[in-house]
Amino acid sequence: MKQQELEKLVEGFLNDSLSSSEWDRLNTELESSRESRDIFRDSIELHGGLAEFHSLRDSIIPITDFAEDLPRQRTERSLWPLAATLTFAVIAIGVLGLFVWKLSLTEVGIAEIVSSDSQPKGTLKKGSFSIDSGFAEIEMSSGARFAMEHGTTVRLISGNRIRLVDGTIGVIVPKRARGFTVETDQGNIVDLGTRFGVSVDSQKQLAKAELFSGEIEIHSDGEITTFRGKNVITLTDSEPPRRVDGSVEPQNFPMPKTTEVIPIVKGDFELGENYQIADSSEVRLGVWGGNYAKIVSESQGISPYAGEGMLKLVSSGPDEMASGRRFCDVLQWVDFRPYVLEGATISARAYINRVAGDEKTDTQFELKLSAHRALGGEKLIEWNTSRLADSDPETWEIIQCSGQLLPDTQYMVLRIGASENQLNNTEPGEIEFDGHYIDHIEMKLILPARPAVR
Amino acid sequence: EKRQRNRLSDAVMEILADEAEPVDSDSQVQLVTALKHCLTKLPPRSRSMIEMLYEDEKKPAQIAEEINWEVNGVYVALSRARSQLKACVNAKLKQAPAE
Repeated sequence: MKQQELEKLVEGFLNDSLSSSEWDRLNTELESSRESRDIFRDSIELHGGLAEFHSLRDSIIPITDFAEDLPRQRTERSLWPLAATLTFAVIAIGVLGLFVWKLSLTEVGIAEIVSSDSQPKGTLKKGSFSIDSGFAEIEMSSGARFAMEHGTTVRLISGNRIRLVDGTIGVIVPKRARGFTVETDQGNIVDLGTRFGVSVDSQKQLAKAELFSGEIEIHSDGEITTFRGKNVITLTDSEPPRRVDGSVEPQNFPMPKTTEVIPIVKGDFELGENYQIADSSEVRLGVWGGNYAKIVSESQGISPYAGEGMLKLVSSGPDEMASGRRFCDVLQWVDFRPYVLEGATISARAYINRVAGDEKTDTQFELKLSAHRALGGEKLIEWNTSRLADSDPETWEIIQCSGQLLPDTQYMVLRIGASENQLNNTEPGEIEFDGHYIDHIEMKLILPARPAVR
Repeated sequence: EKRQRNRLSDAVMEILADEAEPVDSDSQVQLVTALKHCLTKLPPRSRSMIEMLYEDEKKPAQIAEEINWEVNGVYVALSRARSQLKACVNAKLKQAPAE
């Protein structure tokens, strides 16, 4: 029998598609020819190896580490229809041991399109995935998210593992999905809690990873290299992963929805150095300024919401008081220049509390956010919210405020305070605020999933 | 003797079993390691088909439907891909240092 015909029969055997007459021809050939049996045996061995290789990729174990885990991995497989025939042969032959297959995940969704300008939302199964146009944000079942555009092809391997075949992706991995792996032909990028971008040029057989924050491992040719902080790394077939000069450029990668915690200086109002609230007329980044307020420890039967310190609002100031002003508030200028704000939402929240007092005790707190193009300049837009604090000093209430930012925002002002909604004290010596406290201010920037900025 | 239909005959199984050489786990690991390398050397279309077959666990008919090919074309392509892999794996295993 010609080798070509034998190969066709072997292919039919492996694909479970032989007709009765072909079975006869295969049996006759194998019975009579040692050479054909060798070819047949080689083919089965290769087939078993391929099945083993691909089922190992479903595991959470890095592919480079599979040698030690091979025997253990093999115990949990179940049969694939074709494997029934093959396994029968393999066991009888006694050559390969049990090459049986992992329970098929083919019909199970392992990822989801969560946002896209061109694709309907929906579940994705194992296999190759690309989009005809536009942009898509994918969330894996592990919680890892990546964004991709038209021209990029990925293979979804398991709930926490993909292969980037060609193109560019941006990745954000929450803690629960630590270990998320992006395979490339030049090496595997294993997340250790971070955000990064990967691009693959399949024609040039070149991959590049840009680590924006956190830590990744790159597994290549059995070696593991760890990178921390901002790094640009190239991966090639011929060299180990290498850090290269140049700054990371997240804007060159499509990115999934991102939540950035915006640092508010002294937002926890913790004790420590003798921190003074500055004069509100001073326009400086990262300092609290405003009316008469001070950081205190437990006071008037009220314990801080968190830690040992909190902000006590005292008064609007002697001159303002006489003029009938009804507020005591503090503010901080925050730098937003590092952020790409197209479609971004800003959100701030704080905890408020007050003494029980009596019917003349003011109850209202206010939180304001304003966006500015210049430091100390006019506001572009402002949002504010107010909330009444209850009379139970043991409980803290939350006040929060949010709004959609304009792209040309450069600075934000966060302003929080209490207002005299019950009695407006105007005489010198009168106490405007009987015991009003603020603690644990947070500000978050929610950046929507976006395509690369070109 | 009447031949059993649609499976390897007992006679073939016996011969294959007699001729089988013991294979230890090290050589299986070497095979899979070589395959990992050789898969990256396959042309993209061939690799994609191998992945659809083994990773996505699709049948040749499903692959044919997905890529809009005749089923026989898929069989031929798979056979060629296996031949390429076999050649590459053999070369790679010969390079591997002797234990």
